[in-house]
Amino acid sequence: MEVDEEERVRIYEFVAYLVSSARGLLVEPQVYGPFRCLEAVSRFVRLLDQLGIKDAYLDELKKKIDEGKYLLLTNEEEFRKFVVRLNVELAQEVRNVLNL
Amino acid sequence: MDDSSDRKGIADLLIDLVKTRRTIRTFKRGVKVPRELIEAILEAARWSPSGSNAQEWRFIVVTDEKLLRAMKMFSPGWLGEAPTAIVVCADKERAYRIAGELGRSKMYLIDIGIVVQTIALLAHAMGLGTNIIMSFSQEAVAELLEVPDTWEVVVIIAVGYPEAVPQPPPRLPLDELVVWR
Repeated sequence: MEVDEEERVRIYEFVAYLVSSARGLLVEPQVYGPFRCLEAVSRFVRLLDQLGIKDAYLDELKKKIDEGKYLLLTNEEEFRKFVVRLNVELAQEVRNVLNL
Repeated sequence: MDDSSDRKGIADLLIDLVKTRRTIRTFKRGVKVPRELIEAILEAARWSPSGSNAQEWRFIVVTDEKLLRAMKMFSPGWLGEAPTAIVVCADKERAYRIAGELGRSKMYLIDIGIVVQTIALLAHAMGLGTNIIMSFSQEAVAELLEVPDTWEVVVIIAVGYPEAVPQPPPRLPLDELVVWR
């Protein structure tokens, strides 16, 4: 797959987000880790879209993440439940995708 | 400023500014912040107090779009697109020279905290929004901005015109915070 210069920079943006998150999480609060992971999913789905790769389920997942991720700032308990819920829902989707 | 009603008015205004300031993560796209506003903010902010009057703060104002994009790559805590960033550094050598070991180990952090709050309130008073960012790769940002070795990059302040103003996160009640003796 060939990418143009702008697409290359976008890929580097995503990579740098993860690498610098790893650096920061050496010393940041533990709960930032899950937030960074979810934010990375949101950015990854946006990147896929920019590269012309579409998936309706992932679009919906991104929307849910973007709506719920800031629970971290207002209600950490609800944020934790949100993370667990996303895992369950994703597992259900994976069952469909793999025809389990 | 001898009139007590003037003082009360100013105090009320300042209380309102403190209570209505929010962390802004969504800025108006394509709307730049005039240089003169940033200059006015920093001109006033330099009057903030600092231990031993060290004034060890150093401000790098970034408006170059490519450089902002590069900095953002290494700043996981930077959400949203801001047209300007004020990178607040501490000249650790100056802090030590003026305030000794206390200056470069602890006091500089307090001083930077004070000046950052001053900047945030001044920006808010001028209709701007700010996001005070501490989650970034210090080493990577210092490299991108070619920061002198004796400076430490402490905080990035994203500045722009707010597109959305969030509700405030909860605050602890006053009686949990204060002990009177």
